[in-house]
Amino acid sequence: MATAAASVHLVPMNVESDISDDSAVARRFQAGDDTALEAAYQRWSALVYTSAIRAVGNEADAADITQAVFVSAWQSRSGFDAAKGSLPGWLMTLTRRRIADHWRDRARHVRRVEAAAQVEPDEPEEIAADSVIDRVVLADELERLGDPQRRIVELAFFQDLTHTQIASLLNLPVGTVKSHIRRSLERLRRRLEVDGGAL
Amino acid sequence: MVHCDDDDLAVIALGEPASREIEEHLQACALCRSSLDQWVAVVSSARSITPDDHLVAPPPSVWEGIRDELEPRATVTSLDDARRSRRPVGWLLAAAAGVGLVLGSVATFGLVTSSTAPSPSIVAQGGLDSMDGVAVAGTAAVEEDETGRHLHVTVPDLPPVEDGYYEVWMATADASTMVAVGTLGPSGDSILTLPAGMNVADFPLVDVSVEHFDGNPGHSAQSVVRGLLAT
Repeated sequence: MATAAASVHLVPMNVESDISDDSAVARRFQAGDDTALEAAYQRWSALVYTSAIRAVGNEADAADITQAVFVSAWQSRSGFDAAKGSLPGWLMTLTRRRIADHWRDRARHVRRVEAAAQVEPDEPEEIAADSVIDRVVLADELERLGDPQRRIVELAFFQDLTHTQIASLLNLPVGTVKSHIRRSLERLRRRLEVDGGAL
Repeated sequence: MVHCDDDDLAVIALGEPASREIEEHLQACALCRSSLDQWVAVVSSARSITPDDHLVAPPPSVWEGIRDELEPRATVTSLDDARRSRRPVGWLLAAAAGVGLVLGSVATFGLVTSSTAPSPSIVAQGGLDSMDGVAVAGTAAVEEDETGRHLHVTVPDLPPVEDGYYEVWMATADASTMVAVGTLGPSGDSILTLPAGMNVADFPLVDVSVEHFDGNPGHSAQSVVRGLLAT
């Protein structure tokens, strides 16, 4: 006999019943709807996991951090207010905290080892978490840009074409290309402000 | 002062040369300089993206770990969560109207130990009241045998649900927390195995709701019968 426990977990990962956008997921998450946990995981686990890999340098610790972030996000969801901030922003705050914890534990361990060996403490090589998280967040947001913005941004950022070159290549008015660039930059900037490391 | 056009600043942030006019304005205007600096930082960060920065999904074990850690909670859904926008009036309100219910009058179940009792033994039972009247419309009983505990629900004469089914729930006496324990088939008589480890005493309220195949495991707020179990 199917129980609720079974039915909750049998919901396929790709089913999005009434999920229309990120903020709807955030509101349902805040309300304690467990399908929203799964939806949030589908949407943002790669962001959390990749940021963690890049910040701590290995997949096993990143997997532990990802699990801890989603578990604590769910358990402490009363501390999240969908009206005040984005859910990915909050998940990234938790991720940065876990990454900081990881390095603190590591530093403690290294100090203990070195105290035992009677050598001067040498701080572990902490990766500058903020800048790697920024890059992961930006890579994610670039993926989400629709065309023609995405194509324009790729040409401008990575092919170093000027906006007039892009305009003639894509056969678009120069003013249109410029405003696409401006809108994309602003979108990326806002995303960094919310989810990035440099808060 | 006329500020810089944002479109101009954006392409300058990408490294294109600024006109003398814009150059002079930027030297004088902290506001425009600050906008430009922020975009320059975005561009510089984006240009340093390496293939390693592209998103990779965590291995499936991570979701399994989350599920395992949260399982006892994840199967319990708080009714405060008014989950369905299409039916904003939660059934909590209906419960508050007190259709045949005296909330709080039922104390915890005495846990019957029945290792030697003939099976099944009845742990708790009660009538189920129709939600639009006070007449008893069905019965529910928690039975225990050597295989575990089961909720035996009988609600005769239920009309078929178009594109849906009936789901049986057990809830706390104040209806604040609920667990779905299975479906009630067309015969109107089902014996549902209760989750092992579920403390039946905490969930004395039995509810049957109309559910649809919409992927939402939450309560639809459309109850048809409900009642409290007593030992």
